[in-house]
Amino acid sequence: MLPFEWYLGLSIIVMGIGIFAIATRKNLIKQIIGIEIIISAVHLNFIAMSLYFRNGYVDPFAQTIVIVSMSVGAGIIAVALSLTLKAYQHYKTLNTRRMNKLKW
Amino acid sequence: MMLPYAPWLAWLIPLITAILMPVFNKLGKKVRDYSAIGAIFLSVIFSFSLVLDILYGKAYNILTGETLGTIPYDWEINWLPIGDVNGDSVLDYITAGVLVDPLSVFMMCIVSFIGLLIMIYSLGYMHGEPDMVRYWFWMDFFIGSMLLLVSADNLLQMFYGWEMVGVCSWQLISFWYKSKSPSDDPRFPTEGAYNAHCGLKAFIVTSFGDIFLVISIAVIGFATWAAFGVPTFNFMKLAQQTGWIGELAHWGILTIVSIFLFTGPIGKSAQFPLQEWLPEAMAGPTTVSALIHAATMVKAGVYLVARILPIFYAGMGIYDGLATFFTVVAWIGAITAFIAATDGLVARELKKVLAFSTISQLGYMMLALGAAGLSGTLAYTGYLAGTFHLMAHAIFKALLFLCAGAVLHTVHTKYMDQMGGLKEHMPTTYKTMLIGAASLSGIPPFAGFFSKELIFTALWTTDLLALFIVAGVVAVLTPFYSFRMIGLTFFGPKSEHVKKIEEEHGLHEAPKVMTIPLWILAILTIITGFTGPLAERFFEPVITSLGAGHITSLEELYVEYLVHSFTSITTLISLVLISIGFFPAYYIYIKRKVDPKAIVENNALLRGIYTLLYNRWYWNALYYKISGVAIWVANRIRKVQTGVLNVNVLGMLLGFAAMLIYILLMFM
Amino acid sequence: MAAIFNLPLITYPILVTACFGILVFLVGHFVRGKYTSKLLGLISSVGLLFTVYFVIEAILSLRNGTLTVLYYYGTPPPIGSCLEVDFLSLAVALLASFLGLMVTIYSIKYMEHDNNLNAYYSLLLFLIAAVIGVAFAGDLLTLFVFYELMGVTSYSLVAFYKEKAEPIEAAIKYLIMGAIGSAVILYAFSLIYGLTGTLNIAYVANYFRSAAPQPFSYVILILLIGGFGVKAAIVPMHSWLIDAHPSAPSGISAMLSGVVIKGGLYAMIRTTVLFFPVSTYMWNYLLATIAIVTIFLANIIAIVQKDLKRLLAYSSIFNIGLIVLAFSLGTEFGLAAGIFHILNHGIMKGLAFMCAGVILHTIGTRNLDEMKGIARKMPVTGVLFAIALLGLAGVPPLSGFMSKFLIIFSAVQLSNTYGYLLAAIALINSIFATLYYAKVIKVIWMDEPGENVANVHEASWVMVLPLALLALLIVIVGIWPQLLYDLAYHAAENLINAQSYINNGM
Repeated sequence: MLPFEWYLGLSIIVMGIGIFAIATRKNLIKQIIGIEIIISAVHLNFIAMSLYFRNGYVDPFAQTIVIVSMSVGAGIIAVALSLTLKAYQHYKTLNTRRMNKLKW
Repeated sequence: MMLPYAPWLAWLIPLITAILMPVFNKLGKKVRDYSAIGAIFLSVIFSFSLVLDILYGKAYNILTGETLGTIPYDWEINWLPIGDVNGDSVLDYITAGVLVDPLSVFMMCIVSFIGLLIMIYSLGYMHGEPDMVRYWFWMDFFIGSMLLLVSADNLLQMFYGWEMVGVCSWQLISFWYKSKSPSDDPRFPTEGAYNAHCGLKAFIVTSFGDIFLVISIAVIGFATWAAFGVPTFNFMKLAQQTGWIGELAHWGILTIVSIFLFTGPIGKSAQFPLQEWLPEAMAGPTTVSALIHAATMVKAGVYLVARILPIFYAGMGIYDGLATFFTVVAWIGAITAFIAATDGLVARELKKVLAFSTISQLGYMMLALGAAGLSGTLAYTGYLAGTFHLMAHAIFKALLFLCAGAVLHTVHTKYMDQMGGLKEHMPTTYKTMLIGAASLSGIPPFAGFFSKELIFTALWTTDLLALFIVAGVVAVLTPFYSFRMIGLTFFGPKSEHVKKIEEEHGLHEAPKVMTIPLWILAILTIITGFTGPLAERFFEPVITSLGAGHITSLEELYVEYLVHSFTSITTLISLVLISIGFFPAYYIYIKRKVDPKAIVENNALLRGIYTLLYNRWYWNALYYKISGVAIWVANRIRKVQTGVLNVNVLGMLLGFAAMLIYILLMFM
Repeated sequence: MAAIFNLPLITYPILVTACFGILVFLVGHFVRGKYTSKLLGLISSVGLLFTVYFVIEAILSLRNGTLTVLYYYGTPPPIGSCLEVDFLSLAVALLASFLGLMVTIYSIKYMEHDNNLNAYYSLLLFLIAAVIGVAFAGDLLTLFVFYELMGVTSYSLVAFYKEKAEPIEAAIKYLIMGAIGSAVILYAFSLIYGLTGTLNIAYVANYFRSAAPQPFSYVILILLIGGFGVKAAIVPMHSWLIDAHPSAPSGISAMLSGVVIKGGLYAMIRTTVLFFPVSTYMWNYLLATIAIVTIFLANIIAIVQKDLKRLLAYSSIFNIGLIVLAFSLGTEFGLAAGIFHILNHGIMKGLAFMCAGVILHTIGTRNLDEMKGIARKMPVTGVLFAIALLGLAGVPPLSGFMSKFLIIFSAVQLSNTYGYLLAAIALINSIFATLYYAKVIKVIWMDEPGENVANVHEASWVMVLPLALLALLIVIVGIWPQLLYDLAYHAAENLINAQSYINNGM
């Protein structure tokens, strides 16, 4: 088994990638993919925790949590994509830097 | 001999009547008007029924015949449970209630009686006004709130009344916000916009003073919690056990808390540095100015200082941080009296002169009360001086404002240089206004003379010479601006404007419903001067704690009072000062021997002083500068909300990073 | 009632609301007609009436001590999910269901000309069910699921007017920021799971309270505060609120400001106070810093706002800052004051947004310059709006004064310079707040009306009725604060003394 810190570090790095995507990318779809990436990082963390901290066996509880969270995440992404569709119809672009009618 | 539930009903009835005003309006105009006035009449009855209780020393219910308690009588009810804070398995409460003691009954009688007179006067003054429902609502709500303020038995409930009168004052100042006539102020297109602005300014400036009052109330509540185990704001408990002052001194914040407590009165009673809302508040109807800004609301600050004075005085012997409080009160009163009196010298509008005069006289009251604290065992002289001047000022200032209202009603202008020569056309108004101005200036034998005598005596016998000198300077300025006002309004040739009004409508005297209150107030201001000893007897429970001896007999008091008022050295000094102020005004404005404008324009120094005073020492401009800075800062900061999603997320990340760094720092 | 379905009382609010949500959607889908909108609103109102009734019954029986506070189905805790109730949960649930009822009645008239009303009402009901679920959740997974449901329904409701660009943009920003917040929370949950092996709140609280602080605990604390803070709109995670609240339909703005952000605050407080005792973890300074920044930023920018609902949104952030300030004191009295302000602010801000909605409904604009003097034509709405704004400004005898005073009072209780500084900051910002609230009252009542105000008339009684009820409640709570303060200090007592919660859950 690999040391636990590697898994923790991996999930932190993946989360960092996801947040970087949301913070710096102009394209809205890329930001939504960033959300997915962050959620995946958390799932990775859950599974890693389930292995390393339960003294020999894998705790199925964490995997149920991941499955529930995946379904919830699916709901969020569905709403996000439908909003993206509508936003494209209104703004004719997916550039979030242009979508700032509401400011100040 | 009080009626049942009198202290409660005195303020509940006007509040409930105010809320029911729309209902009464549907029932008919007369029902509405008379129910509004009737509610205040009932308040007068309830308030005055408490007077005999104070004089006899016990609260005695006249209908059931039972004695409720001795004066001061605190009728408390449990109000807000705050859990079991001292661990004795009994639920603890913050209490509410009413206090029947000399000061509160004194104020209740003044407020309700003068309120009644002004409400009757309003029938004539506001005749034909379309928005009377709103007017009666706010006037009744105001008088109810003011009565709540003065009869409250604890600081928190008093603050309820305090803020409620602030809201009423705002709404009543801006009462004529629908006026469409063009405004003389270049910032506003119509008079209505100007009126709305003045009301808002009054509300904001007084709220600024109130926030310091709130924090001091909260700290006092907590100090009592630390000292007694249960938080309380009750005046009686604060007075009886001064352990909480010790707690405050122990934490080192006693002086700050007491000065913050005074900041509320600075705002509400228009003392320096928050005095600039009161001149603008003259935009409201004159009845509003008379009620709120002369007789009652601005006295709320003086009331609070008078209420807290015996408590702090008792504490001053033990903890010395409180001497600063009294010095601050006295000096702010003195500075205010001086600045406002100088502003009044050059004011163009009739009501503004009266406004500045009000601020100045309130300064006198604060001066007296502050001096009381600094006077050692002679504190009772300053206390009596301050409270007696409160009553005298309420009466003659209400009188002056109501007379001014009659003049404005007739002449339709607010500028004194557009008046003149009204003496023959408005004889009643002239005579009563003359009595009022004489009382204001302190000419014997009117009430103002006796109350100013009390103030001067208090300052003289306690060797507070610096304050005495300032009071003396103001005593010179007061007759000058008072008689300047009388002269410009009633004497001299008629201006063009007056001649035009005379041709169109004719210059007529005010109707009876307006002149009868004027005469009542004028007669009161003549006789209340002689009620000084009665006031001393009335306040006996309070002033014995301030160093007075027991009142032996009323006759001896009267003899001493009259002898002292007419033959002591302070009498001589005050008569000299009044003459120095009166004769130039008489010469310039009544006899019209010289033209003041010419004198001022030819002399550079006088011109400079005139500009400074006309712009009210540029203090008003300072307020607008400060608000301009705030708006500039806000416009700079709002640019942070760029509305771009990436920037928002970056902000979030910065927040997370900051929190992580914070925790790391804490770990080190 | 409990005997019929063999379910305890605490499941009823969530179940009833969710069932009515499904019912409304189906009815709206199959029944088309002229009166459908009113029918749907009526059904929702009836459902919410039941919910309010159940919540109040639960509060009363919790007072008597006869309420079953723990409910689980199948697997018991610590593995299975459960619902656990105490006074704080019931306070939030009461706020959510009552305000939801008012908004539903209001929406009967407000939304009558819109399409997709079946979606609107069912989403609103699910939103309320989700908030009650967040409040009642006994373990973190249940909390997360309901939290996400609350999020998804509110994203969709913000975007309800999908023909215009602003709501879509606001909803996208809200969604992305909310999703980041949820992911951060879930990350914190995974770390908690790693440390303790369970996600049950009572068990986790027991673990954290008895174990010594480790570096991971601090990281979890930060992630929880920051993650829940996105929904609770503390600075710097607040930017979504400013765009989302104005763009949503006004009833939804009221729900968002009054209920959803309180749901986020509830979760933040529940986890922070229960898991991490303040004496060892010293989170009070952190929360106080957050509160101070929130208060200043929101207040200063609000002074120069011209859009009425945007101004109210900034004011919501200011009040959230005040509540976090009260919570950051770490004392029982501070918690009670904060919870009391949650209830009061929800009612007042709900009323304010709904009145702003009435104005928007009538003249079609939110700009303060274009609605001058409108209250002259709509006096009832004007008076109710003035009551809400004066209450928010903290003017006695309305309820806002008592809650602000209690926050100040609990701040000075610390009796050191830090406490006085917090109280001073809260008060100085109160004066700024009074400035813009009084300005709004002046603009709608006293300024000269323009041309577009000429033809307005008073709103219909169906819209005004819930406003009047809320205003009456504000006045009553102002004169007799015990009505809501009772709930608040019982909730604070239970929260600070975490043992009762932990014992109930094990």
